[in-house]
Amino acid sequence: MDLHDFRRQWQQQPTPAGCAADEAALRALLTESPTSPVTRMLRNARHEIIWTIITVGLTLAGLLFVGLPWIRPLGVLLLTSAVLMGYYYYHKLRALSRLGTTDGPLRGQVARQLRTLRRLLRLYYRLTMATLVVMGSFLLFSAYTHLPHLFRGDARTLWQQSLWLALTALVTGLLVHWLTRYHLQHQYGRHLDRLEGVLRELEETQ
Amino acid sequence: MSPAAAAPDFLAVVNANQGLLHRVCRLYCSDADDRQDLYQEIVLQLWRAWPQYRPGAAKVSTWLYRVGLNVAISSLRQRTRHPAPERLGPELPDLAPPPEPGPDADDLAELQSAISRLSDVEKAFVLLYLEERTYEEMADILGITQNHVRVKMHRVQDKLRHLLTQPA
Repeated sequence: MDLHDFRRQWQQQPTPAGCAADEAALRALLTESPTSPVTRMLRNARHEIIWTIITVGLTLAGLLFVGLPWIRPLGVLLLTSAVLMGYYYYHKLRALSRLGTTDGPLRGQVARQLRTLRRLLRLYYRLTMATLVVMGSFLLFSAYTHLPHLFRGDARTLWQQSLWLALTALVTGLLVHWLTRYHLQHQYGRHLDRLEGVLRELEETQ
Repeated sequence: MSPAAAAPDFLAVVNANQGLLHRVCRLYCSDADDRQDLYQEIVLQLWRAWPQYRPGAAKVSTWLYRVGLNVAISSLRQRTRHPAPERLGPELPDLAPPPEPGPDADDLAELQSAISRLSDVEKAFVLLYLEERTYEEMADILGITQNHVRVKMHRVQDKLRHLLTQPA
């Protein structure tokens, strides 16, 4: 039997019983918990943006109304991190909303999805590394202002301290780089590979 | 148009084309739960795309196949809830009702097994061929040229013939 002979049988398959949709079923479908990861990610991104706004609000209130000396540097750190995260969540939301558009031709859809996901992952990676730099700088600054004796001494001690700092920064940077890459590969790697395979297959002409 | 006002027209289109949507799901999911999930996701995406759908711009079937295939192939969703044991090879999907036992039934089972071993893109070509879509419509759905469709279709048929001569 070849494909041509299979056509009639294929088209005459019975539709599963009880599948006709009505308005109630449609409403239920639109309100029930989403099964698609993209829909779930969209919902999570909205929640994350709300939490970020709440964090910014609370931090600003803390900076304005609490007079404790350690609040200011901590508040600035929190604000900086929240702004970085908010920027990422905003782009994530926009990118995921674009992924939801599915009525174009398959090739364009796959190419767009690949582009969008790659851009999003690049942004995530850069912001993670930027957050690390912000945190490191904050810790260094805090140590310098609150424990100044650590930064005093002869030239040799300072040189050794600088070397330790540089080594710690390098190891932490490499560790975060590796963990972020691993996390992104684990979350999206297979999906991206699959999309690349689909696009390659659609575009190959020879 | 408000969602409530759009719903009757949308539901009429979905209900009139249920068979088509279910056939897309049958081709891409061997597990009944996965099929149901995929069907729901396709209907959800169709509903979201409905406000942009212009009947003059594309045939309703073209629009349905586009959304159906985009969701089945490119969406970031859980691929399988119950992965088939690898030792047993690809699970035989329930592509069509089983015929009476006999030589035809064996041939059909072999063909279904061969189709299940194709890639997602190749399955899309098989689907559109089985649905008797023209090369023009296939090109429109897949976003490639008609000539490319013709070449790919020949290759898929060759691959199927080759798979039919190989044990699963």
